[in-house]
Amino acid sequence: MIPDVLISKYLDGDLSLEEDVEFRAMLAADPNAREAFDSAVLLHIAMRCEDVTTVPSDVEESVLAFIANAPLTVCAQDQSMRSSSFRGLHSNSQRGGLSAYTDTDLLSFGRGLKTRGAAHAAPVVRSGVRRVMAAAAMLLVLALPFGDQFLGVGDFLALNYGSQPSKSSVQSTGNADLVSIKAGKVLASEFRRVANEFRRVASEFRHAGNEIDHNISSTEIERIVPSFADQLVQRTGFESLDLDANGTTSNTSIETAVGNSAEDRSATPSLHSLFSSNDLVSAKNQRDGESQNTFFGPDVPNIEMLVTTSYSQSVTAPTKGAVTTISAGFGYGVTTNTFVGMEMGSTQYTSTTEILALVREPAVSSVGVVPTRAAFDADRMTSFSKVTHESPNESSKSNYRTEALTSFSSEGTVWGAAFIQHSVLKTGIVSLNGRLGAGVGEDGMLTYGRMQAECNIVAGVSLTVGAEARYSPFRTGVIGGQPMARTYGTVISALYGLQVRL
Amino acid sequence: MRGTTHHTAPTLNDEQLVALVIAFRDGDRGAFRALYDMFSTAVYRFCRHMIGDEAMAKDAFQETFIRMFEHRQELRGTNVRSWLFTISRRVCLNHLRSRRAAHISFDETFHAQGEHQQSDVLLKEQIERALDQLPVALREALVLREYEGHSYLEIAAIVGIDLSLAKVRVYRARLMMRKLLATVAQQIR
Repeated sequence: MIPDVLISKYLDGDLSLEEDVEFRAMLAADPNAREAFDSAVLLHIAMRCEDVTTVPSDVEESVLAFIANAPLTVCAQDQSMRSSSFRGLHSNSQRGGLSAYTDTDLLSFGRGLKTRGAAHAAPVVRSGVRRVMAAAAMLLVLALPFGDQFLGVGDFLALNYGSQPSKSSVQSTGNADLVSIKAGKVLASEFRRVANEFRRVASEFRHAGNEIDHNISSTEIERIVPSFADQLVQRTGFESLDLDANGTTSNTSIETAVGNSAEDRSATPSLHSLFSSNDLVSAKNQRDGESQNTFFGPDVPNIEMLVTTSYSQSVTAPTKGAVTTISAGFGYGVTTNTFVGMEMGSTQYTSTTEILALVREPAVSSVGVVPTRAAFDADRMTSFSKVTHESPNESSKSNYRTEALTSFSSEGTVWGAAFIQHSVLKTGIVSLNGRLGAGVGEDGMLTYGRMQAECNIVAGVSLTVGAEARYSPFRTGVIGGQPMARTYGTVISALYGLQVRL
Repeated sequence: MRGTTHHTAPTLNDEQLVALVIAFRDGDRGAFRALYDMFSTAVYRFCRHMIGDEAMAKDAFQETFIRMFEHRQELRGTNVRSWLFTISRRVCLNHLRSRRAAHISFDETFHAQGEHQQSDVLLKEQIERALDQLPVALREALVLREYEGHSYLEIAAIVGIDLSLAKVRVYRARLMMRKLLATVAQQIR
């Protein structure tokens, strides 16, 4: 082990038994190590045995005067509930330091704690309330723009399928509506699910209708049509309304059948988003405009919300060391395959640098003489520069030795970015997404591109694996924890993460 | 080897300390005074070693305790010492930045004196001056370790770095100090 490391461990009392043996052997054998050890111990003792320090009285007075007059931010109720055991303490403390307190004084703190449980609970409760209110405010901010896309959208849902598939059956029964379905209060996500089922059943129904027109008798029609209605009810899980023996509704208007009258609408509170202010009217217009393949209900676009987390580890980076990034983001689907959103993360730069330095031994002539400023600087520059430019052979006055110094550094930055993500390929449970982002971090602007495979695990939860290229400012050197320089460059990373579609 | 000579404040038992901290968080000035008495000397010494300038160290010291009182409700747990040194470190760094901006010149007398002084006084003065030559990150680690006797874990918590990095910084600081003071140490020996 490097002698300096052993010396440092010795000063900390951290030498193991083996290291202690090695250390003693080294001191016995190496005069340089012995000299270094003597210096280290001398400095260590000198620093530990510091002269008695006293705070200047003028500084102390000004601090205490400031505190005595400083306003308290705690509420008046807390002040009034303060135990009397604390009130007298200030005057006690004037006697001079904590040592002036009697044991009774100090114990009174403990008694005060026990008797003032309720008083101390108050700030904690207030803090909890503040957090809850902050969370509620955040939800409200998220909910307002897209509220009825995700939250409750009203207390009705009506689906209606038109008469197109079976011309003969429509003509014979005189009914345009084959299926109507009603439900109670629903979530937009539930509505989307039902609407999708409806479309699927409608497609099958339309296909069957073509078959019916050409090949099947009206008796067969009466048997088949209800099966689709039943199928729809079964697959959506919603209540079926007004289906007669033939599986058709009566001539009663759909609006009345499902309670979608003007009165019902006005009585139905609904959280409207900024982008869809009157969904019920929209639904009505939709019904009036076309009677086939339509469904009545809130006008909910097929919008999705995306929550992502990712962790990336650099594969190549302009700096020696590793660049790791952890991030989280959320986005809204603007189309079926495209999301826009925000991502926030932190990037950590870690590096290990080993420096081999030529260190000059103190010149013989300098022993016992305080060096001049110029001589000291010259010596210092030679000793501490990472690589000396002076060859040992060029100096006839000094001896040199090679010394290894290891430097570790770890620095982090926080950044935020806006992104757009698009699914470029979809097959089964796997899809390939591309994401472009641009934002700003502590060190400056950044941009990134990402390709990731998304594999659906369960429901809307997917595992993502991919690669990322990030063009961002990075720290080229860190000395003693202080960033020495920054420049832009590209970091290519492998990443994995989770993605949830809501 | 770890010295505890700097920590002269009387020790409290856990219950007393918890009660003291709670009272302090509630704005009790008596509790503040008790904590002040416990830590003021160490904090002042830390400020002085970090900044190396008496007047600025006084300012930093005052600011530390004023901030301590103003931000008392941010104190979590009962480790007042680490929390207080975290505040003090930030204050000192701010002062150092402002001093750097003002371009205070190098003390020309650094290497030209000392021959007429006692060796221990010389050494301590030279240590102060060498400390001033260390990078701030190394200096704070060394001061916390050697002068204040903090554990590496405490140093890591105060500075906000990994434990291993705290050890490396102290190691590097010791190495640099030895090299900066090699001649002086030889003289004394």
